[in-house]
Amino acid sequence: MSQFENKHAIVVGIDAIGRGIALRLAREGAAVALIDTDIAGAEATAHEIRYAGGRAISSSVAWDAVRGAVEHVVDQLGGLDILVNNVLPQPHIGSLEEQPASAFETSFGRVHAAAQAMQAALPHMRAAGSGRIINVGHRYGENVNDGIAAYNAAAWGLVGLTRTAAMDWGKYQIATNLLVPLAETPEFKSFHGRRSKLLDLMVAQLPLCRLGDTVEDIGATVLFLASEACNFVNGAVVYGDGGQHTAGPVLNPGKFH
Amino acid sequence: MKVVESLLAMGAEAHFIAADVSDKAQVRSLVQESAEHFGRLDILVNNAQVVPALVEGESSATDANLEVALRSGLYGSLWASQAALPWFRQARAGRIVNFGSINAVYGSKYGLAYNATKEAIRGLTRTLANEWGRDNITVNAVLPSGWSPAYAAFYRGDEKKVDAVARLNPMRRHGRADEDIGAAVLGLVSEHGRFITGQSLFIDGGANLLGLPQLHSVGTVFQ
Repeated sequence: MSQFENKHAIVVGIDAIGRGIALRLAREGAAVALIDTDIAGAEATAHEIRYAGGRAISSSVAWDAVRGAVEHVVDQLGGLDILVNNVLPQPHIGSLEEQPASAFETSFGRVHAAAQAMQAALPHMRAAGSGRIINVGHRYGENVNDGIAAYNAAAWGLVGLTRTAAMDWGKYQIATNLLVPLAETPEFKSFHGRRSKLLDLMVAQLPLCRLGDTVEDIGATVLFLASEACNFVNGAVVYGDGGQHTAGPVLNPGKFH
Repeated sequence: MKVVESLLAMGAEAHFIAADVSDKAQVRSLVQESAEHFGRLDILVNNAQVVPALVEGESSATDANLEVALRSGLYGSLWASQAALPWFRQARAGRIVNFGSINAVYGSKYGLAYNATKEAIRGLTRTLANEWGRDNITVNAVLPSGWSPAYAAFYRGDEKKVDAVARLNPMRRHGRADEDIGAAVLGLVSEHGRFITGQSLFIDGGANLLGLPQLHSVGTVFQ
């Protein structure tokens, strides 16, 4: 039996990466709740999971009301073991002096949404005697890039939130870690359509010489973080990136917009 | 041999080879013999290293300590990895897990030889991750904190100190060799670790985020 068979998981933010994570957790036997502002997208993935024989529900939410949504779906699931916050928005492109207030509000609002989801998850994980919180961060929460100020700052903020939870909630045997993924997303494919030579050069420099598959690679890294492997890994940044953080080449959305 | 006995008792296949990891020929032959014994090789864990006694950096013993630590830790890990490479290429996949240390990250006092070696091992890890990734070989380093005989020796039976250090840990406990350190290494070498390479993974409950108490004293051996 898979160690995820009786687990309950929530994935907040169902873009391509969130979808891959939800599909993989469900494939391993976990019951998964999918939360997003785009209920049609979340429900489409939930339907895909149920069609394949898995267990999934979906819930719509405004980003400033995530706490209530998490509480609601935990009741439906009947418990909570794994929370995945995949909340960072698409970056607003523009130099720092041109970044509007709304860009910062959106980006920091998503970090706050992750905090809300974590606060809602806490009592259930405490009741279970353990838990796993996986915040999906970004390379720009460790390095930065130009032209995406609000995104950089929020990505760094998510690291601080992750490590704070690791400090505050480790005593409940809740391990909170940050996942930095690199995957072949629709955004990447769109960049590739415009600058294929450059992106092929970047991918060739990655240690594993390929982008991640959202289900097989990013999903596998989430299983690593959610499994017994991370019983004592807490406050860590784990890279499901084929080694990109080691190799260096980084895309700059500001330049390829 | 106690480890081999307990492995056999749980029904596992196990083969013990005695070797001096500071000797290149012995390291190469231990990897070769292992691979030939099992008929293949998928996973290499480089944990062996001589741990020199703690001395001040200006001590005349530092050269000799560095020599033995580098040969057994850095060179030993490199030689074993080099010997494993053709087997991994044959299997079209491979996993290497090297061992770093929080002591090295924070430069704990009197451990110059050990610390310099452990940080060099992380350099080795990242370089081989970049070079061998194209062969679907992942190379990662773990930085564990777990209960062990050496760890126990450091506390010299002082239960209060043992408890105090556990309370300082965000998870309010010490690491367990099997369920924490072993589980994390298993995760990295399993299918779950297929897209993780070049990583330095602390397995310490998050203790590294709080720094490292400089409690070491000259003459002890704990790292």
